[in-house]
Amino acid sequence: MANDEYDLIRLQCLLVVLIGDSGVGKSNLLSRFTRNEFNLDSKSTIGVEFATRSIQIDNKTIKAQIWDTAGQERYRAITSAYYRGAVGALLVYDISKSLSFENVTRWLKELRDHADSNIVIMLVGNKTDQRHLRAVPTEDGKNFASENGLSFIETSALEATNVDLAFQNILTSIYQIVSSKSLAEEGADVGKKFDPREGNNISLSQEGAKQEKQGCC
Amino acid sequence: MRTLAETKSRWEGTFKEGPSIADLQRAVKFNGPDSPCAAGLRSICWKAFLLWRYAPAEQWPELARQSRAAYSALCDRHLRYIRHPEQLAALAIDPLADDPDSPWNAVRRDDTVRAEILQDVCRLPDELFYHEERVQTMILDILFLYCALNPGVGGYRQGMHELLAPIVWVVAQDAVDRATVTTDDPAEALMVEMLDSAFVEHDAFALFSKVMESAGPFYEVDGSDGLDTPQRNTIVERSKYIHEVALTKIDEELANHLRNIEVLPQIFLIRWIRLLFGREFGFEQLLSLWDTLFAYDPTLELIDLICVAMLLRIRWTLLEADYSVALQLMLKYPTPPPPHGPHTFVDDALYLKGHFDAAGGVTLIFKYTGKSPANSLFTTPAPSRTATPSFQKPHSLRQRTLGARSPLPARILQQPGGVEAFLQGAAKNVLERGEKLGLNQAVRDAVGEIRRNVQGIQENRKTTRGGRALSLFGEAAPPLPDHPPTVSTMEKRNRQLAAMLDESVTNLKLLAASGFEGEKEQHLETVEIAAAKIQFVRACLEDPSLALSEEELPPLSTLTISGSAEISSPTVALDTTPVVMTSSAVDETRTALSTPDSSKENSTLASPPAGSQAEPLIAELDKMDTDHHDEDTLPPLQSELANSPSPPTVLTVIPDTPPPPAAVQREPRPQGPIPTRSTLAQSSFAWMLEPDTTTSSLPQAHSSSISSSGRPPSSGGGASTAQRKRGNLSREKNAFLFGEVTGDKAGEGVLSADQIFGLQPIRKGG
Repeated sequence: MANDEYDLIRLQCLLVVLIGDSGVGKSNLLSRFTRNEFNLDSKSTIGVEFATRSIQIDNKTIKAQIWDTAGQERYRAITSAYYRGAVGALLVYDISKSLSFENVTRWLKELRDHADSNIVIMLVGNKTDQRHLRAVPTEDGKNFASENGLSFIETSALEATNVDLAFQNILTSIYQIVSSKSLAEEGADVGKKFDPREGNNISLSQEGAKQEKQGCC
Repeated sequence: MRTLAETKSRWEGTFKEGPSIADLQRAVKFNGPDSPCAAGLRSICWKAFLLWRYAPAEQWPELARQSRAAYSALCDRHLRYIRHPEQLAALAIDPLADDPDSPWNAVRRDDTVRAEILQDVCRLPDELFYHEERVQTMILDILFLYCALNPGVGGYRQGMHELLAPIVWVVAQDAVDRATVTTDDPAEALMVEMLDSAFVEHDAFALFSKVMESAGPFYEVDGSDGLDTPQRNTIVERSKYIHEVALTKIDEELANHLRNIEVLPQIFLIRWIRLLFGREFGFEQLLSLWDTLFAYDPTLELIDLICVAMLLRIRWTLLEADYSVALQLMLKYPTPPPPHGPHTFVDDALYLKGHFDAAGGVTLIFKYTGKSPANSLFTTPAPSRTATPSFQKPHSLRQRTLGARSPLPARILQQPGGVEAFLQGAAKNVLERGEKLGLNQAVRDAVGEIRRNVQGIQENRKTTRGGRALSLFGEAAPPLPDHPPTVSTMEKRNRQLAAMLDESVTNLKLLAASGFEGEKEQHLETVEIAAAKIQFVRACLEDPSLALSEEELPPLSTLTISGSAEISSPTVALDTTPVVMTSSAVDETRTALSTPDSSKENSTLASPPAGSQAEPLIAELDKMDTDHHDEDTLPPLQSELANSPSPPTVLTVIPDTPPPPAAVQREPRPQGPIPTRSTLAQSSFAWMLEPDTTTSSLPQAHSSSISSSGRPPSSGGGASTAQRKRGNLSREKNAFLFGEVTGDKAGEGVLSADQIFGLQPIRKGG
């Protein structure tokens, strides 16, 4: 793709999933980001919910479609359907529940098994408002992220701390990876990276990209 | 709690129609606000439907006693140390003993399970009742016991709590505090015993267990530990069945559309089904839906068709929706307005159970929207055909003419006489195209059938199938008597139907003559109305017992088919005779027009997963199929009649054959291709690269600042934060982001990938 065409490159819609144990605050992160709402007694998510929001990166409007999954669907076939097409994942744990942090490893494995290998993952320690109940030191989260090549942030959906930043960072980095990738590879042979086991046979022709647009937000 | 007097009148009201299950069923379905569930005691009705269905009423008290005793025993066994921790402490057992069977360890394990359940019980919907502590404990205990007794379900699954909660509410609502009642009347004593508030938990457990006998599979997950094997999952299978079999059979156009926009059915059906629609409707509406559901189908098999009925109700909106809009619609299902509230979905489902085909779907769509699917004539599978879902069927009339994806119809429609020219072209290539279309043969067959059947009407009158009363217009039409209609009524009916056909033909011809100039929408509407009428006539012909509503029909003065100037001579030959296509003739037409050949081809096309590969072929098929999918039978009929080598001058009499029976059996699940979202959706980042075609209407305050989407950009402690109950209110704004980025940077400009900590893509197994 020629350089002067670069400006025409546009990300139509980025699909990001929220995963993590039940009750760590995924739904509230989503509602805080998309509607600036927080509900202490929000109902548990059954199956999946989703919401969208547009943000500006590089003078371009990027639409983010964020899927909120039920924490209990962990290790289940249903979730793998949600991962399809996801370019980013926020892996959330509760800083006041060490079990939710211990389970991060298993969530990560699930992502690696079911999601696109290029998916950008951010580890999110939520509920920093629960200072007196903190069970997972910030350093632990930071180290885990560093060891596993994830980015890391701590948030509070209740206090609206870092929520926008978390989403913005992951979307920005996805955008940049996509942009640089498209320059390097001209979008030609992306299909090779896919695991044939999952039945991907990608032909990313222009036509295909158009079709995708219709399935997006 | 209600007064005893009120409870008593409700108790009597419950059995007003009679004590049998059938009486209750009828009353629940037909009595509206006077239903024994609404005006009587809902808990008694639910118990009757779910627990005492096959027992005579005099045994009900005894059954209740037994199940209560059983629950008490269960509590003693499983909840003893939880309810009485002091008994555990009194045991002479070392709390730290390694023995896994030690009651201490058992209690610890139980506590983990209970904590998981409690987390959801605390998050029950807003009903105040659910948030009383005693109620939450009750719900927790019931769920805990259920999971202990049913390890096969795989422990507590999210959603069970929202199935149980309404049950507890219903039982508690009807309960009577025994201590406040002193009575000598044995009947009253019995009532008080049945409604004893001390047994709310016991009775709710019994009801919940019974519901879960059928709903349990919705929560099951096989091979839960297998990360490497593709897992089979009951709810996913069920969702696929609903979409690919049930909906495809009842409304193929809608099923195809959902497939085309790549909506995975389980995305919305998981919640619909697992909660028995608990989040889709208001609380009271939900209860009345459950009333009818429990009354008619405690096995919950009807769920599939309830889902289909819900989709049918919003089909027109869905057909125009893209992926996002469609999902939003289904995840926030629009509340159906009265009088057709959510409980009517059960009625619809019961109807669809008896009419498990496209005609059934058309009837319901017409009933609620006043419109019939334009192409329903063609997609209706013939009764004899096996229902192999063909996933690549051409798009509907509506989609094709409105959408830009299929260039052909637009081209044809724009040219004056285009349709006719095209049809004649098609007719010339009978062997090539006609084979695929099945069209020419179909028209010939239809003409032949007309010829044979015109004077076979007399025989046809005798072929009425039973006295099944059914109305296209809801419950308004009175049931028909069991004896066959008289000759004169049949004749009248036939004339009415003929007039409807005639009107449709005329309109379509006028439309064709107009060269499709002017408002496209208007033309579409004309075509759709015509199609709806033809569909209606078909339905009437198919089922002679179908009631014709007088006001729906044109006045009798217009009822003779006259040879209008536009009708070509072979048709004129039919004019003075009261011509009626008999049901079998219509069936024949429909069978042939449903193009078995092309659908077969289409289904083979469906197997390659990459949609793009199939695209050219589909486009070709699109061309082939254009005429009869985009237009009604009548233009092809006309063109064929014009080309017909020997127009019938004498109508011969051949006794009519009885119409083929409607296929209502549930078809086996298809082994055919299972649609997934296209591989493109699974692709890497490059799929997102698109030419910049849309411009944002959102304010672009700063290059990398998040656009506010109609809310203040600052999100520090919104109004909702005020709800917080947690203690620590001090806000340290030390945005804790590890790496280069801090909270202050948010608005500063574009962040490069290397500015953000560790944002490298991960690799498999990395």
